[in-house]
Parts: sequence; C-alpha cells; structure tokens
Amino acid sequence: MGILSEAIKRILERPATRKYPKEKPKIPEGFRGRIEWNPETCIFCMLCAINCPTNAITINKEKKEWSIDIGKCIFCGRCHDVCPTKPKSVSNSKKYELAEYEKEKFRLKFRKSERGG
Amino acid sequence: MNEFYIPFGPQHPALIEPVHIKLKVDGEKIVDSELVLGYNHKGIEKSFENRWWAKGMYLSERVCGICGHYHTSCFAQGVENLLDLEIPERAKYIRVIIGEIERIHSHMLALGIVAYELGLDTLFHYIFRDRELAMETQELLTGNRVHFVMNVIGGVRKDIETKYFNLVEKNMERLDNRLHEYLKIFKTDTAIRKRITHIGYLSRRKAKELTPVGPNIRASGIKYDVRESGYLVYDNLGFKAVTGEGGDVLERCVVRIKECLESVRLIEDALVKIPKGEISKSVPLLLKIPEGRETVSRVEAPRGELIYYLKSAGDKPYRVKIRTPTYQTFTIINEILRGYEIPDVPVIIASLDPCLSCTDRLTIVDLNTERERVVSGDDIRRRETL
Ligand code: SF4
Ligand code: SF4
Repeated sequence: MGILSEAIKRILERPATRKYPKEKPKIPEGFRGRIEWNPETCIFCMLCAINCPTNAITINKEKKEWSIDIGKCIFCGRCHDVCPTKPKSVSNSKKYELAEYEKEKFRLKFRKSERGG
Repeated sequence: MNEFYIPFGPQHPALIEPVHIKLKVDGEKIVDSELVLGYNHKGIEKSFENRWWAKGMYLSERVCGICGHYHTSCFAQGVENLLDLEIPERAKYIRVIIGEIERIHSHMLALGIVAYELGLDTLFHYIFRDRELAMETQELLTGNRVHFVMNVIGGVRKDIETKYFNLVEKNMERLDNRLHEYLKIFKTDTAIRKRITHIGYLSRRKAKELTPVGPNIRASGIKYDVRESGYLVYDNLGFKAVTGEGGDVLERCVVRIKECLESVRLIEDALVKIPKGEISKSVPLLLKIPEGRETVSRVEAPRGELIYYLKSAGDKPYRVKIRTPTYQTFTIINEILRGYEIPDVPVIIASLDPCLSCTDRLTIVDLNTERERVVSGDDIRRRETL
C-alpha cells in the first residue's frame, strides 16, 4: 500500500527530469570544465605540465606553445592550483559539452604570438 | 539427487555488477556458492607506485565513482599521518560534511537497486529522484556531481560557502522527510515485507565469525563503525552508530535508511558547528617522506571500513594496499545465499551493496592464491562446460 499512495500523491507533480539538449542544466559555481589557458599571463614555468597527474599538458618553451590533450585530462584542476601567476594562467572553464568524433580534435595547441597575445 | 552448477554473472540480466558466482543448486535451492572475482581489475595499486604522493590523490579518487571522497580522505589521512601533520579544524568539518552527503547518495543508490531487483521500478525511480537532492547538494558545495577533488594533502582544496548553507539545510530537511517516508514504505509495504524478510539471513554469531563490514554487519546487531572512534570531528558531532537486529535483506535496507537519517543530522549539526579559519596547511609540491615509513589509515566509507596501507619510498609510495569494504563483505556471500532459492540471489546480492569497481582492484592477490588453490584443470574444464 505504501508505494501506491506515494504514486497517487505524485501523479500531478511536474516531471523530475530535464529535457537535456534543449534545456541546459544550471552550472554550479566551482564547476571544473574544460581547461583554458591565457597566453597573456603565462610565464612558461612548466609547473602545470609537471604537476598534471595524467601528463595531459605539454609545453614547448622555445616556440612558446602550450598544448593540452582533453582526452587525457581528468578535470582535476591541479594545474590551476599550482600555477604561480596572478591571475592564474590556466583555469577550469564552464564548458562541458566536449564530445568529438575524432581523437585528434582533443589535442589543442595554443601559441603565444610575438607581439603579445 | 541431481546437483549442478549455475553460473551467475559476470554478465547477467539480473545483476549489473561484473561478478561471477558459481551456484551449486539442487532444484531451485542453493546448496553452495563460490565467488569468482577479477573481471574488473584495473591495476590501481601498482599504478600508485610510480606517482608522486600528490598525484596519487587523484588516482585514489578514481578507485570508486560513488565513494571517491572517502578514498581520497583515507589516502590523505594516511599521508598526513606519515608527515605528522594535523589538518585545520575547518578542513576536518568540510571532509565530514562532503563525506556524509556522499554516504546519503550512496545508500539511496543501494536502496534503489534493491527496489529495482524486487521488480518495484516505481520505487526505484522515486528513490533516485530524491537521491538527486543529495547530488544537487554536492554540486552546490563542490561544483561537481562526482569526483569532487575536495581533498588535498594537508586539508581541503575548496572552501564551502556560507551563502549556500541555507539551501543545503533546506535540502537536508526535504531529504529527512523523504527518508522517513521510505522507512515507512520499507517497513509497512506488504509486498516488500513478504519478499525480503527472512531472506539472506546472517545471524549475529555468523556475522562475528565472518566479519563483514559496514551496514551489513550492523544489520546483524554488531556495532562496528569506524566513526565511533571519533576520527576527524565525529566525536564533536556526537555520532551514534545505527544497528539493527534482523540480519536479513529488509534489515540491511532499514539500517541504510536510518544511517542516512543520522547523516542528515550530522550534516545539519556540522553546518552549525563549523569554525572559521584556514582550510589547508601548505605542503611542498614535491612531497618527500622518509623512506620506509609506513602507516595504516581507516575511514568508514558508505559500504564499511576502508583501509589504506601506505609505505613510503621517498617521493612516491613504495606500496599502497587498499582494503575496500566490499572485499571484506564478500566473506559472507556463501552464508547468506545457502539455503535460499535462485530468484532470491539478485536481491540478496543487491542488499550487500557490492561495489565491484573498487573490490576488483584487489584481486591481484586473490588471483595468485587462486591459481595455486582453486583453478585446477578439473575446475577449468567444469567452467568450460557450464
Ligand atoms: S585539470 Fe588536471 S588532468 Fe587536466 S590538465 Fe589540469 S592538472 Fe592535468
Ligand atoms: S603553471 Fe601557469 S604560468 Fe606556469 S606554464 Fe603553466 S600556465 Fe604557464
């Protein structure tokens, strides 16, 4: 009897589910999404690359290149925690729809241009 | 009398976990059972050995998706022991709060699965809908639904914000109402009571002998809970362990619901008592611990006592040994299956709340002993003909 009465009580309630692709969820504060890098402030100290638990970040100091493999990244935010610059040069964005058809597309490469930015 | 073996799992429509149980049956009745693990081995313990301490934290969180916070708490607690480091009071409270929310959603998941195995899909969906309250609270406080990365060695990574406390309290109140409702349903619904009382019975004496952990031993009347020792701030919060006397599937469910209620109380209490202050002690990025130093760290995870043994090799662990609760709980599987019928198996197993994802990581030792002991040529042949 217990479940039945519960079911009757709930019959007029709105659905608990969300129509996801049409209706986006509210992203909470502190959500750890795709990593983003800011070429303006980065000093190429390598700390993020060394401390990343999955070695997702690679840095080429000479070419001033900073790349990340989203396929390897576990979104732990450690790179952000160890980055010494202020404001932090690397941080978690709120992006979460990251699926791709090809693995290659996960490898993102960024470069700092000579004339700053 | 015709006895024969029935393989149950690793892929079975009635059990989603990758575990293989060989059931020796006489008709419908189970005469004997044998557990075969190893379908989900991930090699995590070995992987710890070539990671720095701080990086190991992130690996330990990946041992289990449901109770990841307990794994990091246990690992961090171990490393802090090795360093003789006392973490700030506020960090302790945060660890407890996040952990208890995690316990609620884990227990509700287990209840949902039991309902599902009983064929009560409606109840399953209701429980999962309300579990969302706990998930949302986690999201609110930590930013993510799973893998919160709240712990770091020396404290916690992220503070919980006071502006959310009201919302958390509201969620907890609603959860409290809902849990009382489920307690009533489990205790009074005739279909449920008829189906799961006196099923999967574990007597107090047997429980003492076989020592499962967590709600499974407490449902048999033995008060064994690591939180009773008052680690972190459980003694300040006046934690009381929940026990039950029945020892059957129903009792295990009831104990889980009551534990959720206790968790709700702990969270509400902790939100009031949480002191201000720093949230972590700074430790060097490349942590060095004198070689050979070792420690054992225990926490009470949702499924029971979780143990980490750590031995240092300088900047990396020399050995990390993880004793997950489900591994210990599997000692009783033969005892609670014997004498019951095949249709009871899924619900009995579900009532243990097994987590194969963390347990199977351990079978490296198990497989070794098994190679010597069980898997004889005869056995393999028998398995082939199953
Ligand atoms: S979030 Fe973690 S895994 Fe991803 S790049 Fe940063 S440190 Fe590496
Ligand atoms: S840690 Fe920060 S400053 Fe250093 S290389 Fe990485 S992004 Fe640049």
